[in-house]
Amino acid sequence: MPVDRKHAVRAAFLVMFFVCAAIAVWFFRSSGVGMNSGSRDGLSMDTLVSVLVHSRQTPNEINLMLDGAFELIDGFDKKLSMHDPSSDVSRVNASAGLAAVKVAPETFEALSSALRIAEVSGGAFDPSVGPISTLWRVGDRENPLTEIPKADEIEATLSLVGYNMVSTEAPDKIFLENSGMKLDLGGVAKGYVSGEVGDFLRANGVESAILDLGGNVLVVGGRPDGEAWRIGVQHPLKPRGEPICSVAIRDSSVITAGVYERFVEIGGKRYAHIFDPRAGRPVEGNLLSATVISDDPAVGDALSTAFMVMGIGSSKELAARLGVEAIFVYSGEDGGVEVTTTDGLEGRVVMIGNETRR
Amino acid sequence: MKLGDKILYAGLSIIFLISCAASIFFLRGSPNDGDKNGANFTLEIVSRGEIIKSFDMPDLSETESGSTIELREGGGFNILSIEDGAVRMVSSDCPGGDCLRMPPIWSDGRVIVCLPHKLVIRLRRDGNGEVDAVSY
Amino acid sequence: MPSPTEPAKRCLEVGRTKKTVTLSLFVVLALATGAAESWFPLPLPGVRLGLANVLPLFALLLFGAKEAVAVAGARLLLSFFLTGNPFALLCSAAGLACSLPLSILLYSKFSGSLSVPAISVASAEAFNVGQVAVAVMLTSTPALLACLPFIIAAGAATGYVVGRLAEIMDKRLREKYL
Repeated sequence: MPVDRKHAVRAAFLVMFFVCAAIAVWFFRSSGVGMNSGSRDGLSMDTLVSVLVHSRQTPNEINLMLDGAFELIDGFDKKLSMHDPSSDVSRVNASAGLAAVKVAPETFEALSSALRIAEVSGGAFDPSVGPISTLWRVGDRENPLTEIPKADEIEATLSLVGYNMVSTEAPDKIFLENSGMKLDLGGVAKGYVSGEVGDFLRANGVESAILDLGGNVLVVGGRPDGEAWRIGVQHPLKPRGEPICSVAIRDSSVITAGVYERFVEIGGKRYAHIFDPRAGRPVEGNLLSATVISDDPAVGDALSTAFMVMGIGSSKELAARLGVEAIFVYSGEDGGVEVTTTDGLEGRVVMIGNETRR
Repeated sequence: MKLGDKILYAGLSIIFLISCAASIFFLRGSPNDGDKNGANFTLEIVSRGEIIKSFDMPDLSETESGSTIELREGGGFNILSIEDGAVRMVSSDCPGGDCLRMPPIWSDGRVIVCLPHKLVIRLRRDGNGEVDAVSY
Repeated sequence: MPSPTEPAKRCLEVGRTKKTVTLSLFVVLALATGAAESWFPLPLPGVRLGLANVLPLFALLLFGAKEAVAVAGARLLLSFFLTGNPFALLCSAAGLACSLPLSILLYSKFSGSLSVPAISVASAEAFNVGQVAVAVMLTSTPALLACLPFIIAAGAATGYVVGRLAEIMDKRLREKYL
């Protein structure tokens, strides 16, 4: 009997020891030890691109994979850019009113997403907004605008804008029906590309990654320690990098359109480079930025722009219909900055500092 | 001391050591911890496991001492006071009032917990207001 | 229940009335001790020093498992009714669920090789683990586990004191009654 007892006691302690060992192992695993990571920053698509990857691959494999990711981004840039004359978009624009142009499947996909959003937003977002961008000299650093375009100029331009004049023929033909029309995929390109990079990383077995493509943030999985990624939304009035609030996401994207990013100043007034394609003019009002959280970053990109044009009320309705969430930052009556979100984000948005959320 | 006693105490000491190691590991946070230069803490208010508010401590310390944060979460009312860089719970309508008796916190990893209101107040040493990236 | 071959661990043979009164006394004493010790500040909410556990343990030594459970259970319920703090109730209940069976088991099977203070230490640790686990789950803050070393050390200390106290009380009372 004494032997039995000793055995039992010993057994009990062995069990306890293993339980503690298990807890210790769990601590180690959840803190991310044992995973490798790789990160790379670069310039592409006319902006800063930053990729951070956590994976069980060797550092070498991760490096090669990052090479692949950046090549992918550069490849897309060549196809989607408006400025490169040999890009798919430029070729389509050059044949406006003349003939359909055959493009890469990815270009077609990006345009299709854009057209879908154009339709559901009633034209608040429109990939054929090219002529307006040109009129307002968006992206033209050498010849910036010094005077607001006149009403008749805008009228004339508007006749060349309209997503229903964009013809597509699956799987890869695009035709702009009127001469002078121009596709500008800038409102959807970064989102689309970030989605493709995300898929590429997943296909390579990455379970945790974060990609920042000029402010379009996409994440794969959650952080390596198991928590969700925390993505901040830029404070419209503070320097870049300072957030007004943050949201926790997994396998999702956070994309913001804001009046503070690109604009032109004429006569002391700021004109944002976000246009209402139906009016031919920059958006006005107290909405400072719209952020869309969605699984499909191309949709998120296009919607963020559309929401800036549509205003908060209609945007929340559209967001609910499409199943995405959104955060709106606007200037309040007392001159302060306020935040409102779609209902699905109830309890998921962390305000930073003392800003209020309604 | 009986034999069983010795075994028990030995086993307990092992468990104690493991928990110390795990605890140190935990308090140190993730491997990417930022700079070690003094008072750049973030005050996080966690309700039911979700972070609902986050403050940069330097901002808070610069305001007149005695700045307070009112919280209406978890069905109750709590008031936090920040004085000289230390955070404490000064008022709470929770049964038991345990949170009022917890010592003030001023360094990384320390917490004040109001269990009835499911609130955890904690300090994290971090530069950036806790975000991994900013969408702009 | 103590096995027949264990020497000198007889349940105290007393009449039902006397037993009920004695046990009620224990419960009251436990409540009082519990109230007194709640003044002591601990890094975790709802977690107590556990000095009041001397009473259930004493009941175990004196009478047996059923009585110990009765005292512990009654004390748990009454202290909830008195303080109205459901979270302390949950933590303590979890603690009891871990520690009571353990102390009963250790006492009935292993009292040859384990002294009473040691059993008390083991059950105090089990109690604390149960409490901490519930506190962590309720607040969803695994970081609270960082207090574990402190809790373990405190548990060992109070467990030992409680055990020794119970043992002494048990010896004295038996001398008086037997």
